[in-house]
Amino acid sequence: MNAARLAASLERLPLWLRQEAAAWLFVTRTVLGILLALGIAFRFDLSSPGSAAVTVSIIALPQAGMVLEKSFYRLLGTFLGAIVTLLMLSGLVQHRDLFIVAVAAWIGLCTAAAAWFRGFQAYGWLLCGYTTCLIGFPAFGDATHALAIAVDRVTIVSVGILSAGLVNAVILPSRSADTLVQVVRRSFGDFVSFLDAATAPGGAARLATTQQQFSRDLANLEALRAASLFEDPASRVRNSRLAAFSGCFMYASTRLQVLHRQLDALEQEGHDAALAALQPTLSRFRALVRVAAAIPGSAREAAPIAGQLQHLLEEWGERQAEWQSAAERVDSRGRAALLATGLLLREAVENARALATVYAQLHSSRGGGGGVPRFRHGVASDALLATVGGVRAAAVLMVTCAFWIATAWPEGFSATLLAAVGCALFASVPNPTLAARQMCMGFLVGLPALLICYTWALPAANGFGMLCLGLLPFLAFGAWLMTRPGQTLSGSGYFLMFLTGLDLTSPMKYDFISMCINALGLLAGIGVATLSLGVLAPADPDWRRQRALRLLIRSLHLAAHGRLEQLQPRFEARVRDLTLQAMALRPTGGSVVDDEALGFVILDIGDAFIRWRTAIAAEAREAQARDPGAAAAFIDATLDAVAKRDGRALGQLIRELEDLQTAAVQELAAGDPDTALCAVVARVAALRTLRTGLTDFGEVPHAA
Amino acid sequence: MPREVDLSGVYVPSLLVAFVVMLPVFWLLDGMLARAGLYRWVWHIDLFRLCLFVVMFGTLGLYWYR
Repeated sequence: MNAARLAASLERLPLWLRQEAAAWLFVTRTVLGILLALGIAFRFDLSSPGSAAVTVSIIALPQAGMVLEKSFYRLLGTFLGAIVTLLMLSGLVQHRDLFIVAVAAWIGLCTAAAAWFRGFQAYGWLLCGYTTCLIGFPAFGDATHALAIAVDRVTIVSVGILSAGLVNAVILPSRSADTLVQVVRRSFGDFVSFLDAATAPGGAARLATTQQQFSRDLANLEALRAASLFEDPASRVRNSRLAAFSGCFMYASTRLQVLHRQLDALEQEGHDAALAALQPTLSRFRALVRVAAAIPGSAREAAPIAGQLQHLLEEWGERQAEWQSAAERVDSRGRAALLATGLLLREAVENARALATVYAQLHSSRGGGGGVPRFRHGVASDALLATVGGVRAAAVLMVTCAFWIATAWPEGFSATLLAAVGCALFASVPNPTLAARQMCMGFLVGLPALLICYTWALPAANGFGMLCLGLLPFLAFGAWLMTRPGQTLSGSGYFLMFLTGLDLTSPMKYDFISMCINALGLLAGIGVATLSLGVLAPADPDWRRQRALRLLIRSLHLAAHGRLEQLQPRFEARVRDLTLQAMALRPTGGSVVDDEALGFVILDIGDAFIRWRTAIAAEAREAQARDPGAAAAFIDATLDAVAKRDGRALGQLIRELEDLQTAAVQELAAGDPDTALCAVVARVAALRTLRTGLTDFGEVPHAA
Repeated sequence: MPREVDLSGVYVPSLLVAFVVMLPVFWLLDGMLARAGLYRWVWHIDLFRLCLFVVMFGTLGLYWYR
């Protein structure tokens, strides 16, 4: 039976059964991976097989591509960390305190980098930092063997990575590439539904929620795309087209949102004739994104759509002629509104065509895909939070080291290491407090498991087979814990405690007292890292959320002053990322609607800024710029009023916008309709978008 | 080819060198096969790729250790 047919028959099972099956497959793969790593490490007499097992447990993720991606960055981080440690040791081997300061500084730097980057790159930096701790401190007392210790560490990590990669890729793999295909197909289907809701008369009300769903889909798409690169050779070939797909998807859905807002505004302002003139084109647009009146299920089925939309664009002149004749019957204001909305409609159609083109190209597994627009998927990292995380990690490391030296604590090393790992980990997640709570819970659950295993299971294990049997229930429990929603970090904490505390070495030493002291050291380390979150520059989730919202509003500065080239995608990626960040930090039970609505409105206002600036630049090129300085001053005044959430100033600005719009309408009426008045129409479109954006901003509960 | 490589005092098996040498070669070959669409005819792609790598790595290793 081929894999696709097997997957299709699995699709028919009930959802909970499928989820449970996936969870238990994950448990099986993780446990097998750990046991394989232990087996190889014992067979080759590596110094600490336990660390290879820890590696497997840490890179255990539900999909093969993700495991491979995380492995890649783990290996890279370990390599770089090992090299830096050797350099530090070569220079500072005779100066203990200086060495500690250097390690602390390096860990601080890497932790800041981990907070700055996203996803598994962040993880690579995390590794890069604490590897110096892991190699540096044991090697400091034994400098002649420093290189051997470093090589040993890299070998152990490699063994763990190879075992995990092997098991995850080969034994009943769950592939990121398959999920990616599903997400791409679903996204396109959602886009078509969104188009229906956004362009139909009296369209759906929950567009903001859909738009945020799109933001999540986009983040998901990007993560899956990165993961599939490591897993699926066909994804490597498609990669640039996939990147273009998510870019086009983002862009096209925003254009639709802007169009929808303007259609709403037409209705509210009572421009019924203008709305009626647009209706035939809107319903054609709705019909043309379908194939045989149905939403296409795959890229192959979607192939005709791009051509259909292209056809619509080619006869756009006729559409405009229709609108012109319809415009004769309405007042000059209605005419300007009609032409401006028509411009937005054209943009929406163009972007939908670009999306459909890229989507259809995904079908082919061959290279090519020339002429695909390139988008940059930036994330909005926060320099302040990264710096705070870095400084905190460095401070914690120095404090624990000082305590270690002052008390000559035998397990100071475990505590210092865990404190460094904890700090770096907490700095790289969106909600550190929650992560710390989960991690601590995992450690606390791991402690009794460790004691039970060490007291009863381990002494009875008189061979590798028996050892596997004894470890099996404990490992399976940890892996199962990782599959529970929201408990992934608890599972990681459990494994860290259990496997590190067990300290499997070859030959195995059995010493209950030193195991207990070691476990205490581990607990103390994670405890210090957790405490540091509350003591050094508190990481209160609510404060972080407020900060994300402030940054969200401040991202308008980018739209107002950034270089116009490729500004729209940059701005949008930033706004979407910040909205998702704010939503991830909302208090439990808190409403997400406000954050969604704010993100939505900021997108609108920024879009209007960019549109206006583009229109002015176009007019300036044609040497008919009216007064670019006035527009820039107006944009600045808007930025100020939005940042201060000043309702009075906003009202004043909206009135001024009305005047500007009236002037533009007169200009349009005075001009010859046949000559190129595109720039004026574009300006009217920008002014109208800005006005609806500002009105909406006043109505967002949070912003009031 | 000696069986161990001296990495400034640390002896590592030269199989490791074979492994590292074969990685980029495999990466290239893998990309070429994917571009040619050959993987559509393979049942278990990852198993096939793994075996392909083992064969390549084993060939070089055996050649050196012979």
